[in-house]
Parts: sequence; structure tokens; C-alpha cells
Amino acid sequence: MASNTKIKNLKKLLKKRESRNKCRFTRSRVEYIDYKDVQTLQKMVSQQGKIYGRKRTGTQAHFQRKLKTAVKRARFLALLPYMGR
Amino acid sequence: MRTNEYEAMFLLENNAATADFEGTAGQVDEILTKHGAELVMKEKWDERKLAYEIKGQRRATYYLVYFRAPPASIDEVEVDLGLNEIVLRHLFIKLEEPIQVHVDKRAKERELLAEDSRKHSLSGWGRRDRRSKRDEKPAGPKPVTAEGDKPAAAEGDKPAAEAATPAAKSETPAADAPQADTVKAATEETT
Repeated sequence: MASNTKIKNLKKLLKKRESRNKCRFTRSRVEYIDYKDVQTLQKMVSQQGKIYGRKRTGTQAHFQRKLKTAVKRARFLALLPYMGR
Repeated sequence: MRTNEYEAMFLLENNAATADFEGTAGQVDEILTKHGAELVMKEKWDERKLAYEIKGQRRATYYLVYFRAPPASIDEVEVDLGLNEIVLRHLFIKLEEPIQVHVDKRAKERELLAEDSRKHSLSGWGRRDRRSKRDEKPAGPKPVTAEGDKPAAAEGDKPAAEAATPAAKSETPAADAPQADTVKAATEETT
């Protein structure tokens, strides 16, 4: 019994991990990344202002490209820092 | 004449913009319309702190405009904006979709992303919920098993019953205490 529930919990955990690991832009089915959406962009950028790599955030390749332009636009308009702290 | 649809963001000098936003925004509108742009939507997007200083300014007012204009006119507008001192910075983006469609879609997507990050945040309500569930869980099944095993626990063989059922806990402290006492006494005697 105990082992059975343990396995169930493990499966649940794995499922959760899976859903968490996927790209957030794929999850919410977005077409475009807006430079004005500072809250989202801030999550994709380190304290120093560097864009996080795909390995860390799990972002899909074509979204990473869009993210790049969005972050650069936001930086130009001083919504995000070029160099933080 | 062929026109494109554009989104433009202007950073306006904050002192002028807070004193008279309509006037300063009007200057920008004038420059745009002078070169043949047709304004579709305009709004004061925000007044916020800049991530870094621009021309000695720490704060600025963001002015967002959607307009239709012939592509050649953008260059001329940019020259005029460069001469203007009220506009600290400007960004033009050519839109692939009609303006209204673009605006609606972006608003929806923004909500979706916010919703998603709320769901998947590591240090939000989700985690707290999970923790409270985890805390409740041991309390939940206990009484069910306890009822079945209670008579056995009461009758005898306490250590085994204690391990199997948490219900025995109520009895174990009483049972443990004398044991501990006897052990203590034994150690005292030996010393």
C-alpha cells in the first residue's frame, strides 16, 4: 500500500516537473513577445540584466529569438537595464 | 500612397510631461502628422523610473502611439524628433497585423502570461497550498487506522502497537514515562 502511494506521488511529481519545465510562452500559447510586458521579461533576465539561456528557462528556440528582440527593445527604452546593479 | 502601420513609443522629458502632458504629447503628434502620419490610437502608457539615466533624467513619461504612415516618412520624422528636446528617446516598430488586432492580441497574451506565472511560480500561493496539504495529510488517515487497531494496542504488546498505530501515542507517553524512569533509576543504581 505504502509503496503504491509512493509511486503515485512520484508520478505526480514527475508530471508537475514536466509541466513546469516547459517553455512558458509555449504553455500560454503566445505568438509574440511584447517589449512592454516588463513583468514577464524580468523573469527571463538575471539580476545583472543578462538574458537567461534556454537551458535554464526551457524556452523554445523561436521564442528565445523573439525574447531577444523584446529584451533589447525594452533595454533601449530603459524598461530593463543594460547592466544591472 | 502605400502606408504601413506602426507602433511608436516616446520617452518624454518628465518635467514638461507632468506639467502639461497634453501639450508635450501634442508636439509629438504634430511632428507625426506633419509628415503624413494618420494617428489611430494614442495613450499615456506610464510614468516610471528609468533603468538607467538618459540625458541626465532618472524618470520619464512613456507615450504610446499607433499610426499609419508611408514608410519613407519615418526617416523624416526621426530627424525632427532628434532635434526636439522634449523627446528623450523614441522607438518605431512596424506591425505585421492591423493595429486593432495587434493591440487586442497583446493584451490577451499579457494576461495569459501573467496567469501562467501565477500558476507555476515556485514561491507563490501554489506552494503554500501544497505545504498545507502536506501538513494535513498525516493527520487525515491516522484516526481511520487508529480505530481498527485500538483494542489490540490497549490489550498489550505496546511497542509493536506503537509503531503501527499513531493512536497508541496517547497511551505511549504514559507508558514511556515509567520506562524512562526505571532506566534512569537503573543507571543511578549502577553508578
